[in-house]
Amino acid sequence: MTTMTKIAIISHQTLLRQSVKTLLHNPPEMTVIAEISTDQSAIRELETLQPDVTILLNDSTYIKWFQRLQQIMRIVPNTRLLILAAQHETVFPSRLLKAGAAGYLTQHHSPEELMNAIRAVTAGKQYLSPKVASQVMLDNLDKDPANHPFSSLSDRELEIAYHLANGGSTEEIAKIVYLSPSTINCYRYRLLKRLKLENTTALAYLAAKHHLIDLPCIPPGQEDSL
Amino acid sequence: MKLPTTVLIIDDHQITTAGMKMMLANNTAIQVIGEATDGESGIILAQQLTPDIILMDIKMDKKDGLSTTSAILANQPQSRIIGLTAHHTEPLLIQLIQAGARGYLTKSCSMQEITTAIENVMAGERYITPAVTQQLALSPLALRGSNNPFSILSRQERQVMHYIVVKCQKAQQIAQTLQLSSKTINTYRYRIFDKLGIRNDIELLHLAWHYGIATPPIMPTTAEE
Repeated sequence: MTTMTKIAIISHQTLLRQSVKTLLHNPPEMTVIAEISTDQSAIRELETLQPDVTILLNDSTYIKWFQRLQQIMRIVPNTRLLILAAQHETVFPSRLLKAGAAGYLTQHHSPEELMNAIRAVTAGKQYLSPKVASQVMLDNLDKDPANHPFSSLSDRELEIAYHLANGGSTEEIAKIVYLSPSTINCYRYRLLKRLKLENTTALAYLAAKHHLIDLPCIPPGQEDSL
Repeated sequence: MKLPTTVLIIDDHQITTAGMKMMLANNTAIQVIGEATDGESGIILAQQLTPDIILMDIKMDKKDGLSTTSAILANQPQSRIIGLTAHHTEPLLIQLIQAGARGYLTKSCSMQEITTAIENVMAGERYITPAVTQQLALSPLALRGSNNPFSILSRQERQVMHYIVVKCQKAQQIAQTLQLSSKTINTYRYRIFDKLGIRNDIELLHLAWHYGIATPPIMPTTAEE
């Protein structure tokens, strides 16, 4: 008899959670033991549940993924974490795998691809969907830094760039990352210089373009004529 | 016996669409008759199948839900379209309703709510998810009776704002362009911040993106089908 793979699904979006849960009814070797929201208390339930595979569905930015991932890894270090993203990403899948995720695919794939991913990570392998994998590889071969300006940054630099591009003040960021305000200013100066940008507003544009921060979903061509 | 309500789903997130379709299959009053994974094929399917209801994802890589909605309604004005979005913003809701959609849901809703929305829209009503209507009714903007916070800015303030959020300029540069002192520009800046209840240029930029005053950058689509 094959052993059952116990799966937990995490998302702040009910419909997405329910959809993935329904999809996983079919394979006989998989059982969804929980579909939970991203509340702190809900995530702590994982400790009791001890899922074999945790599917993290989200829609948001790299930093949020990263923080959630670390939080889950602390609570259930043995779970195999599979990221099911809503958007195509280029720079960040490999970073998330390095940070401890077992697999990464996007919701654009077929349901079979999701099953393959779950089976792969259950078997102890890492999984990157072929489409994302080829993109990651092409990006690694592409030596023009203009195409992926954030990929050379350290995790700490990326985190500070994220807070700056979201409008955080020096003092606020200093508190969040436990550094002094003057260190944050150093980081700001270095980041702008390295990314060849004039100011933080330009940084915000670049960060939005590369999915480092959340963007309002507005189609182009809606500018006000001033 | 009453015929089931026929539904076409247009969404490029195949994994979640497949799950949603399975859930809808449990409801005998609803029948999913088609799925499209991009706007273009959605327009064709809508014409071929003439479904009672179209569930439309807003954010799609190839052709977004807003322009797909307009295109379908241009061909078939009677189509009942319900927009489904992962990220709610107020301007998006307004644009979608203005484009002629009959319903608006976020992906935070439950399956039960999708059924309710379909029933309401079939009964000739419009349906906007309560999570959003509540938020709208309580937002400071609604209380001020305006849906554009920038309308309270003076002409000069709007001009300065334009240089900050569209041209990404600092006070000094703006001062040179407008032939004013940096001090004057900064007075305008702080007045803008005060009026809008924000603290810095970046928060101004985010607000401007949100209301379509500045165009947010679009990431080029990388993974092609």
